Amino acid sequence: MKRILILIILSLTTVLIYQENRRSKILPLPTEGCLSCHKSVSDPDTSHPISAFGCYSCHMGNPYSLDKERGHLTMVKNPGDLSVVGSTCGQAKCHPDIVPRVKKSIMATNRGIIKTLEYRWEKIENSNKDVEYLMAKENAGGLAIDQYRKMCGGCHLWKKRGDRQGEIGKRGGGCSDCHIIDKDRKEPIDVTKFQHPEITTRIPSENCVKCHNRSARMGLSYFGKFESEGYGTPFDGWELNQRRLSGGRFYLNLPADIHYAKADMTCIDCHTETGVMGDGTRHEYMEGQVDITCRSCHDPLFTSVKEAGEAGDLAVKLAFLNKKIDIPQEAKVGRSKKGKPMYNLQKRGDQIVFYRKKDGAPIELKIFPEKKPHHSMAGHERLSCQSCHSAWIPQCYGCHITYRKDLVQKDWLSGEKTPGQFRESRSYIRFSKPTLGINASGMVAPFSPCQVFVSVFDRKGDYVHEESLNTLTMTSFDPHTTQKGSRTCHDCHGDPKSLGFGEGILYKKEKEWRFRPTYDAQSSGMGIDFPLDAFVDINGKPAQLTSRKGARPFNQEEIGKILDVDGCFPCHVRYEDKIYEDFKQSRRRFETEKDLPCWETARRYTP
Amino acid sequence: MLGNSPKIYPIVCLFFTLIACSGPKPPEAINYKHCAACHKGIESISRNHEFECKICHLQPARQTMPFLEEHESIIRNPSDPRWVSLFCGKCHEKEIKQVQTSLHSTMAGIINQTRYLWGAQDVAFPPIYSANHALKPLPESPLHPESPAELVDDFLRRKCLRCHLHTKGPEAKGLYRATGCAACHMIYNNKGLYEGTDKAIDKHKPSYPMVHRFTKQIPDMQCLHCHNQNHVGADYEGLFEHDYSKTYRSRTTGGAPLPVIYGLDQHHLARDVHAEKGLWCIDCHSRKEIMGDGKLRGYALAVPMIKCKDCHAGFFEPAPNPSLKGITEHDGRFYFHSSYTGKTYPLTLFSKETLSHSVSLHQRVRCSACHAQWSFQDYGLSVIREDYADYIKWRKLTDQGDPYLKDFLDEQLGREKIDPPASPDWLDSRLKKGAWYTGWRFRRWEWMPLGMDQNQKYSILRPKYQYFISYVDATGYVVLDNVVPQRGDDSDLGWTFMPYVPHTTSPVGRSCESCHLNNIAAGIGVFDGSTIDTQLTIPSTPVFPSMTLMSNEAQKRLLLRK
Repeated sequence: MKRILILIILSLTTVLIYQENRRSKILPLPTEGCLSCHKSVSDPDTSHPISAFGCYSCHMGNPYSLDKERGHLTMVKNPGDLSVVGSTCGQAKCHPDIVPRVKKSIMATNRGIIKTLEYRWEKIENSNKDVEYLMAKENAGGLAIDQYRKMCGGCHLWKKRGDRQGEIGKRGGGCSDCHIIDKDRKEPIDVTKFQHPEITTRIPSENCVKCHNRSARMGLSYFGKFESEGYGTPFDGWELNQRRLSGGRFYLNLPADIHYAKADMTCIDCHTETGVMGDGTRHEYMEGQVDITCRSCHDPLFTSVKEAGEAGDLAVKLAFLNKKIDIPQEAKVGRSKKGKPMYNLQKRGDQIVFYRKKDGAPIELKIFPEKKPHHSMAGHERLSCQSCHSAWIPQCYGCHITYRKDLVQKDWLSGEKTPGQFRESRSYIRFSKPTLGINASGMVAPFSPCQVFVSVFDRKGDYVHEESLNTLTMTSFDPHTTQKGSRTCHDCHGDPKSLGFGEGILYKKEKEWRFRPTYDAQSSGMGIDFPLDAFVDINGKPAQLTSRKGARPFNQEEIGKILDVDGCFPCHVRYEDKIYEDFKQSRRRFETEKDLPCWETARRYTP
Repeated sequence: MLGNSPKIYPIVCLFFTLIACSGPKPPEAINYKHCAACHKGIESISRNHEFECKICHLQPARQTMPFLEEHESIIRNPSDPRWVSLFCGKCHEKEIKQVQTSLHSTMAGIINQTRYLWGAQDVAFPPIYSANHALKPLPESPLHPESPAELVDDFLRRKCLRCHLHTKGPEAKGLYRATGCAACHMIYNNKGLYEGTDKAIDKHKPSYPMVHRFTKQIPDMQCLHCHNQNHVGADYEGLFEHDYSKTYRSRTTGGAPLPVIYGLDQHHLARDVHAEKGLWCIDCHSRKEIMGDGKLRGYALAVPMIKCKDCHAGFFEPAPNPSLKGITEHDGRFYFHSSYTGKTYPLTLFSKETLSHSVSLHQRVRCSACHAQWSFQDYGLSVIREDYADYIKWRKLTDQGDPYLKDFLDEQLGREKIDPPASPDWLDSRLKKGAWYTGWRFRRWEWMPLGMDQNQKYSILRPKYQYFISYVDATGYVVLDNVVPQRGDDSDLGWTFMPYVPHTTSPVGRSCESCHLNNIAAGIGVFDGSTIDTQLTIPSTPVFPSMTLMSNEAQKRLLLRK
């Protein structure tokens, strides 16, 4: 009897368990109150289907209420916003590893901008301030910080999304800043059924360019756009030209970067997840965070996905999320500067394939011909790829800032209008012949001016000399105007602007190099005794500062060496010419052996 | 209150009686023939013109009248083209006739080249039209122009011809000047303020010459009253216009904006070495060249003028030209004495020892092709005439080097109720409907494309210009939308690059590579002219058949291409 009873209980339990199991399978997931109004909302993407996640897990609020007011209490419209992201995207079950990284990333901290501003304007050497700090402390810093707040502070991840119309409103919003595809809604939103903004890892370049179109203007240059002098020409009907940028600016068309022009690559084809979202370190400058170099692709190192452990898993995961690129399960993937996997650069068998992230199209990739004479020649070891292959760089000479204490201006961090208004104007702009110098990594690289002349006016509108300042710097960055061909030999070895003297006439008198500059900055009212485009004088004395420790113009010895070669070009035009194998020796021979053919030529041209 | 002060009554009565007694003519009207009564201390005009005032300033009929009621009937500037024959002509008939044929009077170069480029005439040379009566007088555009050819005369009259001897132009800082002979021979300072001793002249009211004096000592400042903007003359002083947008109205040292002169503020670049040394324009530019020699000429380079080799010798001239005024030789060295500045300069002579001078092919190169340090390279000139009021779009572009336009726009932009646009025709001084606005694609000073001048010598070219023409009529209808004109003979687009001599001479030549192996110099353009904007750096054919672009062979030679 006892056994029968146990059997019955067991059977009943089994039936109950079975039924309970069956029931939970056919019933829908616990329904959130949100969906009673928002009946038909599209999925943000396949990884976050509303059927699985509902609304609450991202947007919070009160899912148990059917009342709009109560339901929306504590709800966040943009879960990606950095002020809430720890409880939304970054919650323990979702992306807890990514959010702290992003908060430390340069796009969230803006450390480089703040540090450089404080360093150059107020000689503060070790500024450790970042956006989060400045948002919490309203009166932390002087003129440089006020400039940051009012002129720069509108482009960072902490900024609220949608706080303004137009491009500015699209900037900011934490994760959403990059991962949401912006669509201009024409019709008012129907709350019952609407298209949820689309989330993606295939970030369109527009999301980058909405911010990266000022300062170094990489987001423009890459696409062959050069912010123009603002004439708005040629006229279009009764209007000014339609090639416009935000802020009433116009652009001209110049040759685009070859990666765009030839391969239609987007920003994220090169810029990796770690490079953009950070690697957990609170970097001082952008270049510390960026995780790629030209060599990462053109002279690649590969890792087998299977052997790469966590990194390999990440590569597979990212490729899976991309949904367009072949998943590198059996392949090898490229490694970034910091050794992270580049899932779109794969080695399949012997074949190297670069996949375009937006559509998975394979792109032909040229491997860096290291052995070619133009790359291997002695003396060129310190050349960055950009020094020869960047066709142009946007150059803004003379940035004249007026700071008026009698007026107010919006502080982007607080949203409040506070006393002190900045207005910027310029002397002139150029794009051609980037000036070269030595960057902070000790490589020869292009530089572009950032020359600040601040005129401060007090509450009465009077100019205050003591508070006004000049700080003229040359800054090195990747111009993003890569060309297949390179600048010519003479373009660097004999052109005064490339060498850093500025435009003018470089000539030799009594065996000494001399220079007659074109720009007269003193007469042009700049209060400086060197041309605006002079990075260095003919004796190797720096004329301007740089924005990084270690970065500098060429010194006297380097200038001498560079110019020495220029005289040989008329005859020795080929990279593989023997004289360049040991140029010091060749130079010695030229000076001592008077029967060299050089002298015959020289005689022919010297009466 | 009046009622409480009985003492005032007689005074009031007297006052009204006086008024009642006075006729239409006040008994003590000023006789304006007594000039010296007011103009105490006025300077004598010149040693050769010590006449009574009336001889130059009153029409002959009025000279004999005992009484002159109206100051307005005094001829303020007897050298104005309207009066010059009557007054100056008595003694200077020959000079006046010559001046009337000079380019300063005819403006034939600008007029005929522009009309040809805009398709209004078949040739630019020989010239057909002039700003005066030396050739056919410049016609007016029709009321409803429909093509560049029909618009060009209006463009010339309202934009280009603000600088000619018949008009004072837009009077503004740097631009104050007289008309006729006085345009050159009466010196105006940049503010147009009188600095002399005449008690009657308000020294704070602009539009007066510096002193009441005719002179042959004409300083550069005077020439620059016209030869400004990005044109030869300004370059001699190292001036290059800032860009138009408000973004370029920068405050500089001391928090002050750069001074606006000639309608805009300027970059200061390297001055011409001759300017650095203190030479004046007229040290090189002779009377004959400036005032004409009686022959009608079609463009500036056709006028015989001094050459570098006249002072500095050259490939075939071992010594300076001894017949040139001011050149002397002393102990085998040559000197130039400037009678204007009183200074004597040792002359640096052309040296065959210099590497570039030893290359025989360089005999075909103008001195300026190498010795010009920089050049005016103003690419892509968009012009639009608007008869329709639409000012908002110009709010950042009110500074276009045109003081009239700036004042007009500033006024209209500050108003709620706006007027339709109107601007002066500088040739007939009438205010006409519509205004011309201009804009460049970009302007540079460091690029120097080469071509061949009228003697087939290598010369620096400058865009002059690459027109894009638009016209919006009074109803807002876009009649012409960004049209590139066709030349009058349909031979090419109405764009041109012209050889010229930049007045930016450097004592040393530019480097070999500023021409050799240089794409811009060779006419390939910046980045091979591969975009719609950089293609503007590829030169277009000069206007005159005697001038040409570089041949393909010459291009290849310059670029060492096979």
